[in-house]
Amino acid sequence: MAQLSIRDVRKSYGSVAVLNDISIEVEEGAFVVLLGPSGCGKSTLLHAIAGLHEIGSGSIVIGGRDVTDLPARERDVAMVFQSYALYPTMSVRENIGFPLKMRGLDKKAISESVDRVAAILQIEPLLERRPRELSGGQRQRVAIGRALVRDPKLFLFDEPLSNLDAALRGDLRAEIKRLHQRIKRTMVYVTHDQIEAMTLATKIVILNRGVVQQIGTPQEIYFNPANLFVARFIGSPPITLLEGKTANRNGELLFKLSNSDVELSMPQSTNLAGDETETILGLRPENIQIVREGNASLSATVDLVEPTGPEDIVTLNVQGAPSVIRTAAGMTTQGSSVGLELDLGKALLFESGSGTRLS
Amino acid sequence: MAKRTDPSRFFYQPIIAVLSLTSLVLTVYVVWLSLRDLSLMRAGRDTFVGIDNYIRFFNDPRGLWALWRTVLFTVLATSIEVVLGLAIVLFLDRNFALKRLVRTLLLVPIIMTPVVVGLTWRFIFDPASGMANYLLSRLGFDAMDWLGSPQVALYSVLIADIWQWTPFVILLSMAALDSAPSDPLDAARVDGAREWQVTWYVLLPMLRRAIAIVALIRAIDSIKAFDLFYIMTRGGPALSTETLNFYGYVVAFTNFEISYSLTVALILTIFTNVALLAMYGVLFPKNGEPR
Ligand SMILES: Nc1ncnc2c1ncn2[C@@H]1O[C@H](COP(=O)(O)OP(=O)(O)O)[C@@H](O)[C@H]1O
Ligand SMILES: [Mg+2]
Repeated sequence: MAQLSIRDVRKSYGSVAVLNDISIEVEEGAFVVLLGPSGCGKSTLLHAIAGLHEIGSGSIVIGGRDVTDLPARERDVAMVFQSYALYPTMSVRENIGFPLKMRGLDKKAISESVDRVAAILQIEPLLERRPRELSGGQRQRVAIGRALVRDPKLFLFDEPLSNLDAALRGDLRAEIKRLHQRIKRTMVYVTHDQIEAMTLATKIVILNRGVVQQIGTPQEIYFNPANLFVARFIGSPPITLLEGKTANRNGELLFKLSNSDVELSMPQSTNLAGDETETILGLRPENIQIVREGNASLSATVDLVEPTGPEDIVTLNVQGAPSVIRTAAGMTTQGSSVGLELDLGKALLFESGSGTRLS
Repeated sequence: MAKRTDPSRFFYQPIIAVLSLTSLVLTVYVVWLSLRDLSLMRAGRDTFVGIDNYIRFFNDPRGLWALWRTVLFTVLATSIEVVLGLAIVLFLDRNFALKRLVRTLLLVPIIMTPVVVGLTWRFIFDPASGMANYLLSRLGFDAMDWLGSPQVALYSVLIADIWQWTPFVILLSMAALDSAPSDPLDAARVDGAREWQVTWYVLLPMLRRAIAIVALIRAIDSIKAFDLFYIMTRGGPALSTETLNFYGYVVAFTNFEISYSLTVALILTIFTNVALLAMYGVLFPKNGEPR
C-alpha cells in the first residue's frame, strides 16, 4: 500500500492553472524528489499535501486515509520549510518541542524527546539560543529537528538547502540521506537542483508548468527521459541536441543534420519516424568522443575550454549547435577544429515540435 | 568607524548641545519656579517656599483625585484600545477585498480635529436628542445622562477616545502583521496547532514589539489627554472628569497659581516617566526576548 497517493490534483490561482492533474504514488519508506524549474508548482503541491491550502479537485491519501478535506494539523505530516520558518520568539528547545506541546505531552516527555533529537542532529549546545542567534546551517538542523521530534507518517521538505552555501549544502545533503537510511521514513523532497535530486532520490518526479513530465528512478530519468524537457533538464553538462530530419532509405534510418549535408546512419528501427520528419537527436556528453578528423563522422570547432583539473569541460560548435562534453585535460585548444565520434546506439530521438520521445 | 575624527560630528554635536541646553535650562527654571509661590494675583511679590507646593499637592484631595483619574483613564484607554484594535485586526482576514478602502476609512477618526470629534460625541451623548440614548431605548434600556452624571462622564469621554484612537492601533498592527513572515504560522499549523494556538503562541509573540510600541504611544497620549476633556466636559460634572493634566490647566489659568500649576505638571511628568520606564522595562528587557 502506498504511503502517499496524490490523485488527479488540480489547483489554480484565478485563471492560472498551477497544478494540472497531478497523480503520484509514493511507497512506504521512499525518498521522492519533486524536481522542476522555479515556479513550476513544487511548493504549491507540497503545501497541498501538508494541507496548508485547498486544492481545486482531486484527492490526497496519506497512510490509507483520505485527508483531502482535513486541516493541516490532522494530517500527521512534518514539514521543513524553505525559509525554515522557525518560531522567532522561541528558543531552539521550545521550537523543537512545539509539535509535542501541541499534542499535549507533559514537560518531561517533551524535554526528553527534544534532547534525543538534539543528540541526533548534534545541536545540544544550541538548545537555549534563539533562531536569530544561529547560522543558516544550524537553523536548518533545528527545522529538521522540529520535524523529527514527532515521528510523523510523512516528511515534507521544501528546498531545505537552497539558502545555504555550496560546501554546507553538500554536507547537509549527505546528512539528510543518512537520516533517511536510518529512520526509513517516507519523505517528499522538493528541489530545483538536479544534483540533489539524483543523489537523494529513490524516485524522481519531474514537474514542468504544473504537469508531471516523468516519474522514475534517477537512472531511468537520466538514461531514458520521456521527453525533450526531461532530457534537457537532467544532466550536467547538459545533453547535446542536434536538429535535423529523419529519412528512410532501404530499411535504414538516416538522420540528416540541418544546415549541413551530414547524414548519420542510425541503428534505431526505421518505423520510428516517417520520412522527412523534423527530429531532434540527443546525445549525452559521455556518448561523444573527440577523435582525429579523418576518422570522424562529424566535425566541430572548439568554442571554449574550461579546465577543472583532471578533465576539461569543452564547449563545441557542431554545425551551429552547441555541445558540451568532458575530455581528458589538455586534449583540445580553443579555436581548433576536431572530429567527433558519436555513439549513435545511445542516441535519443525526439519529435521536433512536441518534444515527444521517438526512441 | 565612528572615530573622534569623524567630521560629521560638527553637524550633530551642536544640535544635541542646543537641544540639551534648552531642555536643561527649561527644566531647571520650572523646578526653580515650583519652589516659589509665584501667582499672577500677587505679581512681583513671590518668595521662596521650598517644597511647600509639593507638600500641598499631596494634601490636596482635588489633585490626588485628578491623579487617580489620569491613572484610570490611561490604563483603561490604552488596554481597551490595544486589545480591541488587535482583536479587530486578527479577526479581519489577512487579505480581504476592501482592505485599501478600510485602511483609508480608518484614517478618518485619526485625522479629525479633536474639536470635531468632541462636538460630534457631545451630540451623540445628548440626553434628549442624542443617538446614544436612542440606541439604548431601541434596545429597551433606560436613557442615561452620559456627560451629566459624575459616575458616567469619564467613561463617556473614554468611549470617544476609544473611537478616535483604536483605528490607530489597527493601522499599526495591520502594518506589523503584513510585514511579519507567514511561514512560521504555516509551520505551526503543520505542527498541530489550532488557529487560536497559532495566534497565541506564534503570531502574537512575533508582533509583541510592535504592540508594545503602540501601547507606549497610546499611554503617553492618554496621560496627556486634554482636548476631548476640554471640549466634552471641561472637567465636570462635579470635577468627575478632571484629570491631572486638566487640573494643572485650571490651577494656572483659572486660579493663576503659576508655581503650583508647574508643580502639578512636574509631578505628572515624574509619574509619567516612572510609569513608562516600568512599562518599557517589562516590554523590552535588556537580555533577550521576554518570557
Ligand atoms: N498565492 C499565489 N497567488 C497567485 N499565484 C501564485 C501564488 N502562489 C504561487 N503562485 C504561482 O504559482 C506558480 C507555482 O508556484 P510555486 O509552487 O511556489 O513554484 P515553485 O515552488 O516550483 O518554485 C508560480 O507561477 C507562482 O507565480
Ligand atoms: Mg518553491
